Amino acid sequence: MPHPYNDLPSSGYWRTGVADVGPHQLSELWTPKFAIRPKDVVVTAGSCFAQHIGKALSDEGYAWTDFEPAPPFLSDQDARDHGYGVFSFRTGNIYTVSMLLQWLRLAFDQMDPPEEVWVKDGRYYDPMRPAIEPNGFADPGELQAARDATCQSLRRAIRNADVFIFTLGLTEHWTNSQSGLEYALCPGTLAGTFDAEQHQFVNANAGTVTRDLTRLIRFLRTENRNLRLLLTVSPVPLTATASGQHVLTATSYSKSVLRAAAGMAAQDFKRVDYFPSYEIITHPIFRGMFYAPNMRSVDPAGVRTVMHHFFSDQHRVFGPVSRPAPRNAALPSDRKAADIRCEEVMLDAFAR
Amino acid sequence: MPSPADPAHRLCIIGDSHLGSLRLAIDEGRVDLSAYDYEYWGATGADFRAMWLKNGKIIVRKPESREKFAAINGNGRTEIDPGEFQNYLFCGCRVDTSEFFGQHLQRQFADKAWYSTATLDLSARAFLAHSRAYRIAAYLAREHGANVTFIPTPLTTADIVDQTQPGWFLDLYPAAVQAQAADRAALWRLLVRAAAFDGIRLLNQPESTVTQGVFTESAYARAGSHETGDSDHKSPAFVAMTLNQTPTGATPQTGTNPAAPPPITIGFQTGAENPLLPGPDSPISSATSGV
Repeated sequence: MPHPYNDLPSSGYWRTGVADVGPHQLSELWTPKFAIRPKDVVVTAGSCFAQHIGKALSDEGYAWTDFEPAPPFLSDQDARDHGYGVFSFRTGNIYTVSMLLQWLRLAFDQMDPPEEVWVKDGRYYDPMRPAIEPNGFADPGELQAARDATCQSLRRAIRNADVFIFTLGLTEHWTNSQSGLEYALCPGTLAGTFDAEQHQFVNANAGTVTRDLTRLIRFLRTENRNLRLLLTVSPVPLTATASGQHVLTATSYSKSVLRAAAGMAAQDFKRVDYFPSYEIITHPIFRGMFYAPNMRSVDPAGVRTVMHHFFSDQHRVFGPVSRPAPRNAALPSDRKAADIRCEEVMLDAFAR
Repeated sequence: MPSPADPAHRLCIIGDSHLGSLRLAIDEGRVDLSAYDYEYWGATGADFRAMWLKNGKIIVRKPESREKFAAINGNGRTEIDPGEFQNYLFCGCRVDTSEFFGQHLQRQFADKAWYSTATLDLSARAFLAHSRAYRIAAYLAREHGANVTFIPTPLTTADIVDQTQPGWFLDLYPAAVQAQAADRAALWRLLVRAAAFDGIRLLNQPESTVTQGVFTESAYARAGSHETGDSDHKSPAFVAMTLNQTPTGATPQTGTNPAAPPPITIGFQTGAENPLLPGPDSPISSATSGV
């Protein structure tokens, strides 16, 4: 008697899809809903794992775009230390869906700019991204100008992107109970002063995250109706939890909620997809091999494996891509003539 | 008359091809170095890049380049023991201000970019430290307490060659022409402050010599530049104006006659009285790469 499980592809059965092939031969983990081509403008945001995706796309010749590049001449390390080149705009890590929504509302003038500023040793820190300027801003005006610049970059990114890759990281966050401002970090950890009366712990549940994600998707569609959203969940466990639970179970809760919300959004919205980087790193089939000894940090091999699946599944479903030829930097054609002129200048002065 | 043996009065003038204009300025009496016992040391282009710091001495790595340095020096000097001189003047030295101004101004006007003081300071420090000669200058100031003055390569001269050609300045940085005096002053302040952090007095290009936002007036081009297409090198008068200005960094210079600048003994101050220099709470913090 025929039934739906008779003719599944090998990937549909545990034995043929997982047990028989082992971790390194797994394939077809993702069947993407839409193609991502090298010419597509891709922007990335999210938790710390998301920064690997942008770099990997860029390295493969995809048009990952930095809408808020670092000042010229800054070293790569200094740029990254100051939050440049990590994501497509200088928001720093965005761990929660609600935080991304807050940034978008701010950027698109749907909320008043927060007045709260954290002060430490005479320097000023942005509660929405306190780590972005390691030594703080010189004054509140500079902090505000920097935030305005990021909002401008965020607007340009959303309006010009073809694909937005957002990595969900946490459900736990802290807010100001009076202003409603969501913080990137708990006040008092990097800067600011913790006030139990004012600072409120929130651990979002599946309903809240799903609601925020739906709002986010609608917001993005309003600003760019052709934008495709690719969701991922960070495989990096929580550093610490304020939930009162053990950090291990708190991590399970947080990731489960995020994974469920991302999967539901991918089911419900045509232009939203979920890419299983979380499963590729965390699943028992991989036996934790992609984690550093602290069982938290993901090592480069893990990132490579994630991106290998990303590209191979894109190619499997949509065919191979042709990469644009690298652009040759134009150079002044008279370098030789310039050398001769330099010699002449010296001869004029010194060979008389 | 300075004592030749006293390092306090000894001045070494180091540079690439821009050294030529400086020498002419001195020979023509536009710059007065009578307080110093001075000598030149340098070479052009690839030979200049052979200048190196090794075992605490400034040397020239390639034998063929060594000959060029010796010839420019006139006395056969092929290396410098830093203790021989208390004063150093660097000229040009592959520190191309057009590149610094072009990239920053393009970001400022085309991309509406905004950067914090701290990141701009890091940008300026990284830009300067890209030049090995600059790193050597910083070494001399830092390790030997030398008085070091640095004149970077001035802005490209306007109206000599078509700068809109592919790969040329206006092709790369078309928005830079929108710069006003305040924009240029801000960028000069960055460079002056970054150099001061390294103990170096960096001399900005006089504002009165600037045209079209980010170019040097063609009146200050080296003689014959139109014929040779030389938009890089400047006249002795230009160099003298740069050296003879009071150490106010980015203060606009007005009303100066390039044909007859008054020769003024250059000071070689480390810039203590320069209001552009950073105070003890300067956000400049991370060290740039060593020599």
